[in-house]
Amino acid sequence: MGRAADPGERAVVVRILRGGLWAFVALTAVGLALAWGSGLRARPVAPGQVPAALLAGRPEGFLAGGVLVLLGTQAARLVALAARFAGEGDRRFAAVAAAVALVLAAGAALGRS
Amino acid sequence: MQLGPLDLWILAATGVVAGGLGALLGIGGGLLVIPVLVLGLEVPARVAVGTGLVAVIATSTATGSVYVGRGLTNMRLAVTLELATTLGATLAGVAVVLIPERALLGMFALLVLLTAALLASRRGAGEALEGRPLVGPRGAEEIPGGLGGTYLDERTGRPVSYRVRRLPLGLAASAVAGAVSGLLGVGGGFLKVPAMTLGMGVPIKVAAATSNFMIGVTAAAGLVVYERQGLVQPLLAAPVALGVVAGALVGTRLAARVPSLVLARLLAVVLLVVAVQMGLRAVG
Repeated sequence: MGRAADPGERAVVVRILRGGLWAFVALTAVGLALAWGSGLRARPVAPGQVPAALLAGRPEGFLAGGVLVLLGTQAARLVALAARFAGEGDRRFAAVAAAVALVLAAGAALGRS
Repeated sequence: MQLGPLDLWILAATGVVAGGLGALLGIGGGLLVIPVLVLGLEVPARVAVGTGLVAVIATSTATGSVYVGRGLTNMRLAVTLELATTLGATLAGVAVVLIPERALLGMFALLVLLTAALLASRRGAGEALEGRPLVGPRGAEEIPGGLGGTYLDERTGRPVSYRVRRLPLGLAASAVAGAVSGLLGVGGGFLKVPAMTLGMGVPIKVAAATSNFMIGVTAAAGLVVYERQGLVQPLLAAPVALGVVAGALVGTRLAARVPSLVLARLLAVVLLVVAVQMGLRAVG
């Protein structure tokens, strides 16, 4: 049996998941409060329009931003794992984690086409 | 889109129940969220599936932030199998627009029926409860460069090593689980956990925690496709996902105290009713 895995890789993943979770909760709670104040109406917003909707204080910007944060959190933990595996010299798993991140990116492109 | 205040509370309450059951029994949020949306709020099936995927990611993120810290998740195994689950989910997300709505509802009804049968069976319920990561052993580790690992058995107090066998079988099952997730808005753990335990030799507690970790990225692969096709309604998804987070975080704390066998049987009955209703909607 080889050496044990770097315990820091778990800590990094936990920090990413926890940070993403609370950012999602904050954005979504603000979005719902704003939507409540405007008759619970919200139009879907394209990802590219989220920053402008956020700056304008529109509820749909916060709600769509929350969903994007959830997606980004999952992508970030893949990238972080790829980096940690690479840092440990575990190139095979670094490549696998990076490949999964690429599949996510390809899905976004496929959905748009 | 516009909701009424009552709709909002119904969605949030559904999320709380779904998140709690996800943490207690490993049943992904989509199984309960999608029927409430389709049968209760008359939401189109594909939009309901998009909302279910958001609920699955919220469940995985909330429970993962607790379970990964306990060391049971085998992250090397997770990313390896995610290669297959994300491919399956992405292709299913692209294909979902080609599948008639009634066929989707029929497939969902069958999936719910299967889950109800598994929960009702002594073995299925026992496995679900045995696999709850929060009442599992501490001190699990994985080994760099390989897919195996070790964990500390609570009963004997000794470390147990395991090796992963039949990786191609696990990849194939994961691809199917990913496709089911992308088509029907569920986590797919009901396929991955048995494949890992029975087929690949992974201890059930490690398999359950690893599956829970994987469903977030898997659902994200499906969701990016749905999102690009305008099938995600943030106003529907937001209260559900907030409720899921609350339910999942409470569920992780109650896991050791709740009479889960009774809960599993009750859920089996509820799912049976849901399966019949969804089946009737599919043929009606």
